[in-house]
Amino acid sequence: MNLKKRISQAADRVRGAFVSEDLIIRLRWFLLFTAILGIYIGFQAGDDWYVKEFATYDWARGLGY
Amino acid sequence: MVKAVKGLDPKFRLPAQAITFGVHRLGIFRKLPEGWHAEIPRTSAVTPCLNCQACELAWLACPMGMTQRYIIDKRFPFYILGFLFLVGVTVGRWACGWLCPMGLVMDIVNKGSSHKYNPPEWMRLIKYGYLAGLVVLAFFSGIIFFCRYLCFGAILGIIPYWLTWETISYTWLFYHLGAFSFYLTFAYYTHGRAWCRYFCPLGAALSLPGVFSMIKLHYNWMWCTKCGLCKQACPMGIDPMKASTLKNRLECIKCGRCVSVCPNHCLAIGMAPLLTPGKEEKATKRVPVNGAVKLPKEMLTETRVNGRQ
Repeated sequence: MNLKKRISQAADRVRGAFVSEDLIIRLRWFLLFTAILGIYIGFQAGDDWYVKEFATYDWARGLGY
Repeated sequence: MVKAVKGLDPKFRLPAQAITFGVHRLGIFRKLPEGWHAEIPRTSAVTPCLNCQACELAWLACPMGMTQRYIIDKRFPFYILGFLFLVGVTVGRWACGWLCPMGLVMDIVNKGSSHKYNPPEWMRLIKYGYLAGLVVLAFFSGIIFFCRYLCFGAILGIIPYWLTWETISYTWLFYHLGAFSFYLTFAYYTHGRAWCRYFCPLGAALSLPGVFSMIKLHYNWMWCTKCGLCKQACPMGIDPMKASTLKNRLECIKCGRCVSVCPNHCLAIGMAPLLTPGKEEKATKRVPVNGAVKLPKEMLTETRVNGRQ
């Protein structure tokens, strides 16, 4: 069996894989906690509910237009 | 009895997208004479949509542009990653289907799309390449490279910027019109949602935590006659009958088209598995199709959580 066919079959297996609901539920809470922690750290660093530095930033100039 | 949410009716999707498009442009109030509205910040809070913050009227920022800016500033984007994880884990790619302004453009294209060519499945990986590429390119180039050269959504920033300030060069205007036309043409000949399927880095960023999304598509195999209407209706080219596969979890934008076309109410979008008293009633009353057996009411309370067939 050639390599291309093997890769294609492996991709089909991954795509069609059923994801265990138990694993999803456990990881979901971990990810949710990580998300809230990330936002909290972001706010601590920015010291506000939004990104202060970008409040007056001209994005079009930043893009080089 | 578990009660599932069927999900919002897709007929509200177009108004929702149009309203979101307007909400993203509330910075237009800055153009008014003196007043509190002059203080509306320029793009400081993120939105889960591909919304170009170069737009003079924008007041919410695209997470992809923000990420690049953070990387250029050599700072770790905690805020953006936290936001993307939060949206991904709660609603997944729901925002792609219901809120994104570029999704609105893609849906309009979808109505007139020829569906002539079917690109290979591996092309769906391009969006992950774009996601990784925008990080790497921003780091090494020191400019917001992806939005400047490759983004379909940049047109939303360029045209209003050009119309309001007229300081942008025609070169950039025509370049982005060309890039926009390329993606639109590709979408016309393949699938209306081609940008979302194959290229959108924000879709890729939301799809990864979206695997763990609380809101997901639920499928009840007991009532299904395998008519295939759901598969035909799906703008993302996935098979809703395999609701719990990795591909579906990554790609489903929760637009609800499959739910609305299903004649036997086998599909629902929500948190709980598909069991509602209303649907039971409909299911017991339905006429068996293709030799399907009419099941007793008590059996209809069972469902397979993973949707295994």
